[in-house]
Amino acid sequence: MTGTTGAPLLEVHDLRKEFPIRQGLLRRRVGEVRAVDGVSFHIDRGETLSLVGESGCGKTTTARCILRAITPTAGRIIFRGGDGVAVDVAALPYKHVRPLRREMQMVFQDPYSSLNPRKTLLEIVGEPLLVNRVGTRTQRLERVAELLRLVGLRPEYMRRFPHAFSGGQRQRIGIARALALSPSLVVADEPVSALDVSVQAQILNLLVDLQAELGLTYLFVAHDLSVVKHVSDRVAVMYVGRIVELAPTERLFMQPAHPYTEALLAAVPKPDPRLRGRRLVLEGEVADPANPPAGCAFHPRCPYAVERCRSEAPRLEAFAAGHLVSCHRARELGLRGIGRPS
Amino acid sequence: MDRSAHSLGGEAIATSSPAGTVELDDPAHSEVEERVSVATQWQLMWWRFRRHRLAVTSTAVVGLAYAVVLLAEFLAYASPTASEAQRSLLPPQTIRWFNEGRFAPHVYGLSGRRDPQTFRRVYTPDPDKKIPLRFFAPGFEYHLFGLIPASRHLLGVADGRAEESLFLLGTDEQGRDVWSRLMYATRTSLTIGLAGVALSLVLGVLLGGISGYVGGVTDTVIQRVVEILRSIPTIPLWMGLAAALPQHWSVLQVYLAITVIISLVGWTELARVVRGRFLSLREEEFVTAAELAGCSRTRIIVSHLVPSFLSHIIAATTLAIPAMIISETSLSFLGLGLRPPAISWGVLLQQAQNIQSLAISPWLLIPAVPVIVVIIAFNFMGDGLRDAADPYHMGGLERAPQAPQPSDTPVQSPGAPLVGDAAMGGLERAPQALRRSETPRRSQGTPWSHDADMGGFERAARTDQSAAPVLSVRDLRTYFFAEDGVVKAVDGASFDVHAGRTLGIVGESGCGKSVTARSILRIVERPGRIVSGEIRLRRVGDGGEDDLARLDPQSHDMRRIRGGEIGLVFQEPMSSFSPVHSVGNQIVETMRLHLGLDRPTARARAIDLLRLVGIPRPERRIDEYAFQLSGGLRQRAMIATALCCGPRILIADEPTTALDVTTQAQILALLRELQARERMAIVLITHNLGVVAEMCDEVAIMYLGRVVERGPVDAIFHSPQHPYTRALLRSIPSVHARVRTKLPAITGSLPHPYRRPGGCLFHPRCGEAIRGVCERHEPELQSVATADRTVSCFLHHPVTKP
Ligand SMILES: Nc1ncnc2c1ncn2[C@@H]1O[C@H](COP(=O)(O)OP(=O)(O)OP(=O)(O)O)[C@@H](O)[C@H]1O
Ligand code: SF4
Ligand code: SF4
Ligand SMILES: [Mg+2]
Repeated sequence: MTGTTGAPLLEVHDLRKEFPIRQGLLRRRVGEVRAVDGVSFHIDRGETLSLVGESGCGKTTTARCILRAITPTAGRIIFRGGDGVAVDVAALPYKHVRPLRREMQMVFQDPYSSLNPRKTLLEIVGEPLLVNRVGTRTQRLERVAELLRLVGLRPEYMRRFPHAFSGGQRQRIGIARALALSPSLVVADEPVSALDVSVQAQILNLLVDLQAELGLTYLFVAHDLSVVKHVSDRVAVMYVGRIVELAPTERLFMQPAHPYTEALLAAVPKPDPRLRGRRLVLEGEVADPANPPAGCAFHPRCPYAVERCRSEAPRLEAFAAGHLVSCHRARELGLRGIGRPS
Repeated sequence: MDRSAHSLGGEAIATSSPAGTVELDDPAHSEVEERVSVATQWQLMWWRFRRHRLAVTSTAVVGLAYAVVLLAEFLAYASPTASEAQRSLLPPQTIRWFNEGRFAPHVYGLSGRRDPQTFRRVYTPDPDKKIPLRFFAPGFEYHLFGLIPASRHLLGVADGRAEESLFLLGTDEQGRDVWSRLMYATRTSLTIGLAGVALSLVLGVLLGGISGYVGGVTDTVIQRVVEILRSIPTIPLWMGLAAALPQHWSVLQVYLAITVIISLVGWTELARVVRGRFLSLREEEFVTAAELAGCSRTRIIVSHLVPSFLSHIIAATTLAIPAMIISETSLSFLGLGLRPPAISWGVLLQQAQNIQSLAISPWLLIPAVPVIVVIIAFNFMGDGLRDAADPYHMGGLERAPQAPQPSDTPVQSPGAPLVGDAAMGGLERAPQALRRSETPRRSQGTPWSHDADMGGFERAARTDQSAAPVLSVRDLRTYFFAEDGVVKAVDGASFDVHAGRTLGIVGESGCGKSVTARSILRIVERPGRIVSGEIRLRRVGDGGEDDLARLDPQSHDMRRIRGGEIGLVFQEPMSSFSPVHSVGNQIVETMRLHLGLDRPTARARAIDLLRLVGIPRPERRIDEYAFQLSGGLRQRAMIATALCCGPRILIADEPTTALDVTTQAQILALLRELQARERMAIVLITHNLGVVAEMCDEVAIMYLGRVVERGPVDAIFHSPQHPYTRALLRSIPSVHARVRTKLPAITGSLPHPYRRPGGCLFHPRCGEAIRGVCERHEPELQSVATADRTVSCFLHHPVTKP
């Protein structure tokens, strides 16, 4: 499925985003949160890259920087759209961002807050078409009907308002809106974490089907590793603003090379009572991105930490083909992953 | 899944219809639903407002008041300035409707003379001098709506000289008719409110909007100005400004100046509302979505932001008008606002300032009545509008809007017996019949099980290993009686909870898990109540049982059980802690209340407890507030609160749903450890089957308020019997799955709470439904194979009930 025809669709180089911390009456800047702290990766056409990590690790900020919903502090975001010309999204002046948005769209986490309750489905799904002046009125109407059908909703519901729909159906509406302009990259930020178990599966399947059908490329942001396994080609694990490991999905799950990945995998509750007790409990809490620990940011919680980890920050380096890790001891540890069910 | 396979690539708009079959998700049809589905914001608002009876009545009152504004001259019968010393301080007349059995409204003429002692005029009605009344009578000339010349009045006397003979509400010192003046005063007072609000609105929306949208320094400056204006005491400010008005100004000039003065203060509140809405809206994802869709700033503001807070502004404005009216009335009453010859409520009431004249002529106080009525009506109307302003809140129409609750909700002490009372709202009121039908078998005074010095943690030895469950729930039904239907939130839940073991209650959102937990603790919010079923709690001493479903939720026993015998942990720990008490304080208060400990002992024990749940440096943390703790620590503190009285049963409602996997693992490990130590029974409510597999001994699967399968955890996961359980297990994503595999999803979606399917509740989505049986008959929970496996499905037992 990984269509490696030519250059990648998206390349991110050393992306950084700092949010200032302001205090006092004059709101003076007293420090900053380094939400994204030097992130690099690429996504090939037609593939799904997942970003995983605990809350506050910078997944969503990374995704929003790529869409230029927020402006990054530093770094390059090279996007090669339909015409194949490389554009640096990060450096683009704001007024040139708009045409680019037709190529990149987003599916949101909260199916309630992401749809304007005061607009009908037609207005919601048709808005991207309208503001980008695509087609005539009737063409837009037909396109909306087609999009609704595509995501599994009846086109007759076009005149209804979002309040008439359940969470899962609303998420379908959000997906239809994201697809309206036929984007090549879809950023899905926790698209199923607010949904019910049974609906979750429906939406995941829909996303996978749409990818096959329309040749979409996904950046999938999630905290749930079991969801990630069902959709991704490759997975990047983030910890306090940095990628600590990036590998093809199967490999990451079977042979993790970073202690944090091992801990995350071990922490996932397995839906089988016979596998009980194998859950490893990671002590402590996620580091504060306003004040990350020196050396390897994971060292206060890492069971394998040595003296070197406290002073020297590891770099993200190749561990095997297509497998990057940022840990001083990656080669000596031999960590445990998750196999197939026994 | 066979989706239409045509491509959407490129810019062109595809017009062909899809070839393949499409899986359609169908929210079932009904006429009402169809209507609701396409209802606009304003329709939804109106439907919601309409249910607020008081607000609707008040709106009618306000409407009448404004009719007076428009028709003041027509409703008056005397010129408001016509004065006559001969008629000074006439008392109100009574209208007599019948004359010798015929309908002929009239009043008696009055004859006045001066009292030689007091020098006041006294009047006596003269029954022989009948003055007939006429509707649409001629009178003084005026211009209707300021345009149409007219001389008819609603009421008058036949000869057209009503000034001289008609005094419905009496006259004032100068002999002017109070009723007629009141009509004119209403016009002034009510329009000054409107004009003031209009001015405030412009200022407030403009400055608030700029403040909220631009942000940064502009926002800071505007906010500081607002704060300064709001911190100035208003009355002296008005007085100062009003006193500065030149004496020689005309009535109109004074009127305008007063409006400006009043609105100068009034805009700040509106500015705050607007700014707040703007800020919260900017965070809404649909605004980001619009931006990503390529909308311009202007379009986002005009098409997304403004419609979203228009309704709020209308509500805030309605609430601002009465404040304006009061301001004018008080200023004028104090002689600082409008001055005669202007007529307003305040000017009229000024006449009633003098105690002496009031004692003799109490009718001068009549103008206070419309002031009070109109102010109250405006406030109720504004409240109704405010409640209706966001019709999408709280799941829109699904959950019925709550009318303001009368104050019979119990007052809770800070460290209330129940963890997180603050967030829970009113306690359930048991139906009268249930509540008293059986007196609790135990006398009130008997200590439930708590000897204070034993404290919480040495309890372990006391709970025996015997097979009898500590808690048995049998066929519990809890319904919500909303105005437009009944929500059967729990409709047949049965399960047992054993000491030292964990029961998992699993099911999708809205299947009644939380309501089951609340029913056990008797904290179901109105309009919900337990309609039938038993909740049997085993007593510690004699092994007897108490039925909690029959206890008064506010009784001494129930309060003692809640938080004492049964602890509760909520999903959202933030809203469960009071923001004004430190975490430690809430634990200390709970222990003092339930265990009767003194403060130092309770505090020492609270510190131990916080350490036990893994909070670092508990001596310091105990004085921190919930918002200062991280999510994981907060959940630990919540568990400490639930455990502080050494409960026998801990009910944990989604205790880890809001947490990251690593923190989740920590909290679950903590619960297991505590259970091993205390031999507590745990009821774990969750939709995460991984957590269930990890933690539980027994599992109850719920669907639409009903337990459909129950059994030991291994059996549930390895030989599920109910089709719903099987489908649920198949549909969950797993880390063990092959990469990029599709999940067998359950088709369809949960039905609307008002439209529960007949027969087996699961039949519309069931792949194994038996045609002719499942849609007609209701399966019952019955044992299969072993006694501890129960399933409610016709695949496993025959049809029993017709
Ligand atoms: N105060 C209320 N008024 C009206 N209906 C209510 C009220 N509280 C709950 N309900 C209804 O009761 C049903 C069960 O709700 P409950 O909160 O128990 O579900 P749940 O299983 O805990 O769901 P979740 O997984 O989302 O927490 C739902 O249909 C809900 O809408
Ligand atoms: S660098 Fe050291 S502390 Fe960091 S993950 Fe590797 S072993 Fe652990
Ligand atoms: S009773 Fe029938 S419809 Fe219900 S779960 Fe069993 S087979 Fe399915
Ligand atoms: Mg719940």
